Amino acid sequence: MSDQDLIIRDLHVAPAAKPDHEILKGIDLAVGRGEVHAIMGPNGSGKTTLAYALMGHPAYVIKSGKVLWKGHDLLKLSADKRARLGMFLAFQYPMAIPGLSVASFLRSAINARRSGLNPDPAVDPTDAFKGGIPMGEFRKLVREKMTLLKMDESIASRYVNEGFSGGEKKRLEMLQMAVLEPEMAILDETDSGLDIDALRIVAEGVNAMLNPNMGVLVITHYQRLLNYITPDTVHVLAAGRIVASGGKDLALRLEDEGYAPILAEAGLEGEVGDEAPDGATPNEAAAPAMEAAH
Amino acid sequence: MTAAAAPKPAVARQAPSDLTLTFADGPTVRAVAAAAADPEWLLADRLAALAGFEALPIETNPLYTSYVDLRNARLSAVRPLPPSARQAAAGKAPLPEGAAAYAEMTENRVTALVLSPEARDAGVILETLASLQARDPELMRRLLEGGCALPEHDKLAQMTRALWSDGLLLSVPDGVRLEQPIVLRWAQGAPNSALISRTIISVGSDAEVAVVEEQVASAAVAGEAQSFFAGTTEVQLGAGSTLSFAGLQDFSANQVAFQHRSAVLAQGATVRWALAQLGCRVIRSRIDNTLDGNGSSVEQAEIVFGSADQLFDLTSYTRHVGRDTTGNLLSKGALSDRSRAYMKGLATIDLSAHGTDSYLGEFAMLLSKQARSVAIPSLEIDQPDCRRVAHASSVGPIDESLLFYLESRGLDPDEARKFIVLGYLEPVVARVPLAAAQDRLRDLLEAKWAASATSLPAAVA
Ligand SMILES: Nc1ncnc2c1ncn2[C@@H]1O[C@H](COP(=O)(O)OP(=O)(O)OP(=O)(O)O)[C@@H](O)[C@H]1O
Ligand SMILES: [Mg+2]
Repeated sequence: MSDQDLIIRDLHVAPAAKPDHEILKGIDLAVGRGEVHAIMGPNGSGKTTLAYALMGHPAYVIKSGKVLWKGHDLLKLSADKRARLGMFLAFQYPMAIPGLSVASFLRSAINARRSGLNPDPAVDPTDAFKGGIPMGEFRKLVREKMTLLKMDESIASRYVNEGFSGGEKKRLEMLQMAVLEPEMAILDETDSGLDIDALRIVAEGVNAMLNPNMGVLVITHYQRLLNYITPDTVHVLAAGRIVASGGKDLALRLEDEGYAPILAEAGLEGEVGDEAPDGATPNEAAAPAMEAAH
Repeated sequence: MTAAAAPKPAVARQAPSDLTLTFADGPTVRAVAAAAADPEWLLADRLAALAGFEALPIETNPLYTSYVDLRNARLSAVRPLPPSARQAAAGKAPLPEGAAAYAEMTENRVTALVLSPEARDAGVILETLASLQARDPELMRRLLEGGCALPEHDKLAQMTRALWSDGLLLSVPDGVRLEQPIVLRWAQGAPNSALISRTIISVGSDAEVAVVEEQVASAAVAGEAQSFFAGTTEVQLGAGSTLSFAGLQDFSANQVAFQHRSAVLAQGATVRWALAQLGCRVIRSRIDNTLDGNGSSVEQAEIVFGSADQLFDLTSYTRHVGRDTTGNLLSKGALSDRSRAYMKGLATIDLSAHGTDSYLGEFAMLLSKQARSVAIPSLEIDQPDCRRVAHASSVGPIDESLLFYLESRGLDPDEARKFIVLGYLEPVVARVPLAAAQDRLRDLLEAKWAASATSLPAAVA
């Protein structure tokens, strides 16, 4: 183990709104550089919560535990700092940002990422004349990565995720990952919502991004993705704990048998099945719109 | 014996509904009419309006009476500006790049009035109401008598109708489609002055025109004394015609403004309002859309960006009369510091309005703990046979999960907020039909953001 690895020790996490209701009840996990780890687990087991906690979502509180990465106490850093250090989360449900174009979003994100943990205050990524990536280089980079992901260039002028189909949103997440070149990437159900061809394109894109300097945590429900992106280790998350870890064949076994036998081995039958209704993420729950139709 | 204590200087307490104007009276109306050498009918029209003004309460809609607050409108020392020189200083200011015509009023002087040769050849008219009165008194009477489309039961609209002294007419003949927009600019702000004006826009059948109206602080703004603006935009749209109107209000922080905009639409006509409210201490705006003609439609988008203790009091009334009419109305506010926005909207669907499609959305984003907003969308439906009737509203802080999404890409919290807030307002900016005006509005929003961002709650370290 090196101090460059992502090391999660006995992590307990609860929603900020319900701080006494722990979702993660002690996670231990280490992801080294160049390694791919897969996390599988029933709906509502805490996979997204783990991803959010690692990225620093304000709707969750860390009850106890530690996360170390690149020599930093990760949990002490704000989300933007974690991102500038090279952490990346591909969202299960990416958010729409009305009025913000994909191009200016990507440009700011690239500039932020390149400016590192403590950005130079003289660099204003929103201003073409105050530092930041030159326009020509930016266009070239985005075009190259769009080709890799077989994306239509017209999305660059659209507003971020606004009116995007489910699959288009997932692809935009991958485009962001491609241009930001993270050192630790967490992919939360990036395969859900992709059609068969898109899954292959995205998976091949991710494969092309893999490098000895980047650790990857792939959250998925389907072994299919793991046919493309070969994990070094597969973990099963249930009821807030990692209940089993193994090689690639663990995913095959789950595909065959479902979760019941593994949960039984972990002595957990009764506790799971508290399904989260699809789409009921804290993000969507927080949307303030009140709609009345007559 | 002690001498009687000297009386304390009386600090008059102003109630929220008190209108402190001291000049809205018969003698002032007569003086304004005399100075303009008004015809008999016009004086009578003014006096009828004054009677309405005196009889009406400040708010007639019981849903809205608790959302009137004129306490920061301190207008007792304000006096109307003397009537303008009334002669167009034609040719003084050049036509802005990309515009078909340009009128500029500075305080009460006409400082520019120009048309492009193409617009002139097409028969487009842009002139002061004084020159209309001289040129075609009958047309003047037809356009103005009876208050045009100004709401009869609105006290402030009737005040404007009684006391206006300056005005403009824009007339686009039948079938004329202007590619380039017409720019109207009002610059005002002399302390203790009042500018009261009417703008009449008449769009002929199948004609099409875009207007950009800018209301800005003049160079005369000084000190603490307020200045007062009351202005109208009274639009008549002929069959099949289209008006795209972008209004950008950026008066000074000492300004109090009452705006009245009304549109009456014939068959198949369309009006698109894109309105940005940035300036003023107190701004009260009212829009009346009357969808008379079958198949007529209004698209209205209004944004507010408030800071300090600004108050934005916005009301819109949309009346569906014809068949298959469409109303799509959206108000959005971003409010920092102690600023407030009241967003009130009523869509009325008459018995005759089969096939109506009506949407009313009012949303506010609160950027500080002290900012306030009220959204009151409402409907009155006499004809249930509609395509869609819906309203939506919300008032709340910036969505935390949106912020997190941007921060998870490395954007610092302040930049993330800026993107969300300016992005939230952007759809209205994008509707401004003149590139230069669009850029100007973006710059103004950015500048306002920069000036108000410091008052936002501190970011998580
Ligand atoms: N902010 C929150 N407030 C309250 N409960 C929450 C919150 N976030 C998550 N939960 C609950 O915690 C549990 C775990 O949620 P999480 O989203 O992490 O599950 P998941 O493993 O990602 O599920 P899925 O496979 O359906 O995506 C669920 O029961 C969920 O309802
Ligand atoms: Mg999940």
